[in-house]
Amino acid sequence: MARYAMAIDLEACVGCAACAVACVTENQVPPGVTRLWIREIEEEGPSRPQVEFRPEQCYHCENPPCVPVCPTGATYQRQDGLVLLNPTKCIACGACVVACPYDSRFLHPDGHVDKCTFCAHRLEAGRDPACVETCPTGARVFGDLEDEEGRLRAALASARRVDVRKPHLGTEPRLFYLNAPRATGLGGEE
Amino acid sequence: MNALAALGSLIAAGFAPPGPALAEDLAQGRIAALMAEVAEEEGLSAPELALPPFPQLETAYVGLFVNHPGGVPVPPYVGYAEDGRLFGPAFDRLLGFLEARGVVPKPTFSDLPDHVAAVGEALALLAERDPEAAQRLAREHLLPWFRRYADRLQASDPTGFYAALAGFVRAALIREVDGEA
Amino acid sequence: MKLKRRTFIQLAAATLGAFGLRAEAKPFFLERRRPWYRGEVTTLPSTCDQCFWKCSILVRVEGGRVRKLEGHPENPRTRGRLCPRGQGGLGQLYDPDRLKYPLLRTGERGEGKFKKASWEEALDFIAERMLALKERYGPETIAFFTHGGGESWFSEYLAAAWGSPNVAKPAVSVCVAPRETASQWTFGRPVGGHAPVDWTNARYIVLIGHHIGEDTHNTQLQDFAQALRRGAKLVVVDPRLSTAAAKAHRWLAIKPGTDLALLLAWIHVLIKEDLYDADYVARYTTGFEALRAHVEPFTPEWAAEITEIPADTIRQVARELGAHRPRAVLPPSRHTVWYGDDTQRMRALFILNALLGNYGREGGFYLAKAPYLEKYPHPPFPLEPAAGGCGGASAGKEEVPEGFRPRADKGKFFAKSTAIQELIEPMLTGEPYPIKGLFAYGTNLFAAIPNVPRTKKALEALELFVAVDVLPQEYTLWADVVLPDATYLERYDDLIAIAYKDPLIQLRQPAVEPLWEARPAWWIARELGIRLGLSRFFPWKDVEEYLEARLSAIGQSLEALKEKGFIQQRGRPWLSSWERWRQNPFKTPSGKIELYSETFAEAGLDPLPRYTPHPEPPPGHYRLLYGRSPVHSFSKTQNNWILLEMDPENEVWIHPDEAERLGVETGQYVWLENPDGVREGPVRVWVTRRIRRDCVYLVHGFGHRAPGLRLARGRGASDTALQTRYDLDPISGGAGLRNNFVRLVPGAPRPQHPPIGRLARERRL
Repeated sequence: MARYAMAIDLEACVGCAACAVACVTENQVPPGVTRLWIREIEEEGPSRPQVEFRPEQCYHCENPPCVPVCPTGATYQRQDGLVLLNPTKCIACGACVVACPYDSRFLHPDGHVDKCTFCAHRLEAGRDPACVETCPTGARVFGDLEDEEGRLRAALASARRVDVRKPHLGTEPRLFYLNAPRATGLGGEE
Repeated sequence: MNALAALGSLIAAGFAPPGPALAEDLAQGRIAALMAEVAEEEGLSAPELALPPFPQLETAYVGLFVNHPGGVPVPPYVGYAEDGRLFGPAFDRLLGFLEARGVVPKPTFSDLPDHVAAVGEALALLAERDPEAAQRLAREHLLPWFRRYADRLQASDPTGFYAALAGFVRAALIREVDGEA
Repeated sequence: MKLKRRTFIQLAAATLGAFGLRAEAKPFFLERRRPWYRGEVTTLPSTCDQCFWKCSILVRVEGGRVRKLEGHPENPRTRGRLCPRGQGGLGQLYDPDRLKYPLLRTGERGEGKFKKASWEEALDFIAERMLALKERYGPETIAFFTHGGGESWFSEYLAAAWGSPNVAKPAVSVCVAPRETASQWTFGRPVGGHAPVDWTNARYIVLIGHHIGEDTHNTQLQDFAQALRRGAKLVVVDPRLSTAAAKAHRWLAIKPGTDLALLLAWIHVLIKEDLYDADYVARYTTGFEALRAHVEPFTPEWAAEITEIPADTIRQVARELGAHRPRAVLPPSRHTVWYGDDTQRMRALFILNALLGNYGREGGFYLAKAPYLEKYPHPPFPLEPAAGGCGGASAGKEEVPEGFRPRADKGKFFAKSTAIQELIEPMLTGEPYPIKGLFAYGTNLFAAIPNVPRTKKALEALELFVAVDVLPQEYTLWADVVLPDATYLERYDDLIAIAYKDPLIQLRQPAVEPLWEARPAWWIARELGIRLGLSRFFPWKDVEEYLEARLSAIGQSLEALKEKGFIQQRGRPWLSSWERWRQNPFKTPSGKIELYSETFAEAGLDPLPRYTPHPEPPPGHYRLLYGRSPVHSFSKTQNNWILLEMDPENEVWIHPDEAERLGVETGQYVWLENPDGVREGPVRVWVTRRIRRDCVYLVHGFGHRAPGLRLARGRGASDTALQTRYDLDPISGGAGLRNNFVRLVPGAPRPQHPPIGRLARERRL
């Protein structure tokens, strides 16, 4: 069984936001809300300032805290790992929005919760998510974590270091950040 | 024609970009006369229609509805008035409503089909074939536009022409649709 | 319900022709509760116009609307990827603030009072006045300023047919003129729109102020990222830690204005320590001995004093360059108009590259080839204006045909192409002859040309000013006639010729019909041309006929190109291949790479680059540096909600020590004021160690004052408004913009803008 996941090489990422813009048009995200954004973190480095450009979105966690709190079952996780939401079942109670420690979810003006879906509709057609496809620096890699010969596993194996957001929470995100500029991991983390 | 059709034709003529046809209608007093007829029909009083020199009307039109420093104060799009963007859900509802009743936009028309003047024309066309549908069109789409913008036109229209016309149309639509002031 | 029939007065003006009656209804713009990709999607290839890079794109159309833009997967420059501007292009297409109808001015210039006109009225108005002005002053009295994908119909076609030499593009003298001129006189070749750098094979890359990653030129960004992934070493020379500098192994925080000294010192070390490619130099260059003698005094110690970069570092980098040659390269950036000696700085850069033996070799510069294309067989134009462009017309002698006058900026500088900022004076002074009319296409005059007050005065002195644009930018308020341009997604343009390793010809075709009464440039040019009595130059009746003729002349067809989107031809990127064919790529007077320029010497210019110091900021002032945001394109994307949301305002970067002195913090707002009393802002402060103490930095393109741009107006500050001074490069005609200084005035109020989301959805304006 496939387990989809994504990796972003922070060494390559320049924070251009091509991914964020592609997501808006691909998924008809209205103005005022967002599924995907770029965080720019500036810190003091060993010899000069250090800049980390970090795209953030839903991480389709292995232990998603948003799924158990949904009263209607609108939010669910597929076998292949994608955490999705059925808008017709959603009553917009907002419990999942609060439960997500990464602020990935938001209330869509149409009256349901929304977030990154790893472009499930594209996966059906054998295409990469829109953010991955357009990334000019090739920083993003998407694939099956179970596929040992696949591009995703290769990217994880060849990285200097692999990090996830807030690992102490036990959510086990399935979006991996590779090659964080800081020697000790991701910038700006509590 | 019936009163709704007359109103539709008044909206179409009055809120389209001023051209030779409107100049002629104004010169012949037809706009005022039509307003008087509709007023009589609805039991309203027709306002004094200020008639500025035509070039002033043309400049005012652009300033109110087309391009203006400070931004267009009265966007002429019915859909925009309802959901604040072009080609939004209100636009689609309006177009769908009209299409289902055989009133279809012509690709040769150079503006968007939910321009208030165009919807006035649609009202006039519909009022003859399907009076109930015309009522709905007036209530659900045209009246909200006039409710929203008639007062704004009062504040923004240097000529007074559009303000008076809009105020009158609003009152007449309310009569037609609600039967009350 | 009072719907009883009676006879009401019929109005003549009531028949708009907006709607018709049909027995059967057909779906049109119907909303489906389902996403666009579940509908019936048509895909067609086209070419993006969000910047000059001209990526090949796929346009996805559903329900009569453009829904998505994607990089063409098969195009060798785009490779299926697309930058944020390209991805967001449909936000411009559906911008409700777009110009919709031809407008004729009814009030004062700048007041913004217009009346709607038909295209016929507007074009007749323009033609009548152009002909009257020609009668009194000659065709040269009409200047054409152009920018963007449709510009060639005016700058290369209509203006040439009309006979005015005063055609100018900000992309030349406010951008690439110095590097094009330097390249022409060093290598005898252009740099071109897409600098021919072989990034992916380079092992050592030195960027001089090159803001890669903040500029998102697709292929270049892809290749740059690939080069780093393959382990290339990167050195960035910049007073600011740019995005590129953040990726670099070394960041040299150079003192602004001293890059030329650094380059000369590197040349010195390469020669002194025998690190240059002697074989390459002997075979392909001339003037080496003169160069050697010239750089003798330019030691790293000398340069260290000037640049504030340690001598050891300077020496180290030179040695590393030498060690990695020929796969060591110093790419030329765009926007090379810095201090007024910019051609010489670019000369030094190119000389350095030549010494590394990388020009025409892998890891250095490839020899780009323009595609083979035939012009449309129209009768010869009376003259060919030397407007230049990304790759042309900056060399050679200008020919002035019999009966015509030379361009109005002739004699002000050495190069052949026009300088847009030098054509403003004749509008004011009438010297050397009056320019009474201006036709501006897609050129935001108040963001593209320095000294905005002078531009405004000049516009007021004009007798005819025509503005063609997509958006109601501020300068359009000054026009006598405003014409609504169709966006790139709504039109055909002329064939797009791209010089590359293997050159390409690309098509731009409409995906949807133009909204309102917007019309494409080819149509406007033709309609105007016919009214100007120039029909013989427009024998084609529509653009399809024109394109088909050009394509069949090279054995292709429009029909096939509409399917494929692009045609690729064979190039010859490497020197070795040219040599095999006994051909010489260096079209200089000597036929070699000219380290020493005899031509410059004869013209009284320095034949070898020399460092001259530049003005320092007055006390209490900072040098104003500027650059790009990855999601914006100059000043044309700030009203596009999709892109504005990503980067809603520019910020002024300032060093923490200076911020402390001034008492400002990140998030506060300040004004920026220059010595000429121009005040811009309020603009948000960003306190950062990523910039030197002696300068501040702003992203270009903000500070819109155009009231008709509901989203863009009032956000951030305009760098151009603060650039009231410029230094004219006597060689290229470039306008050096970086000797402009500002002081920060704290205490500006925080602007109250409704959130963009609300503005984009808003009911009131």
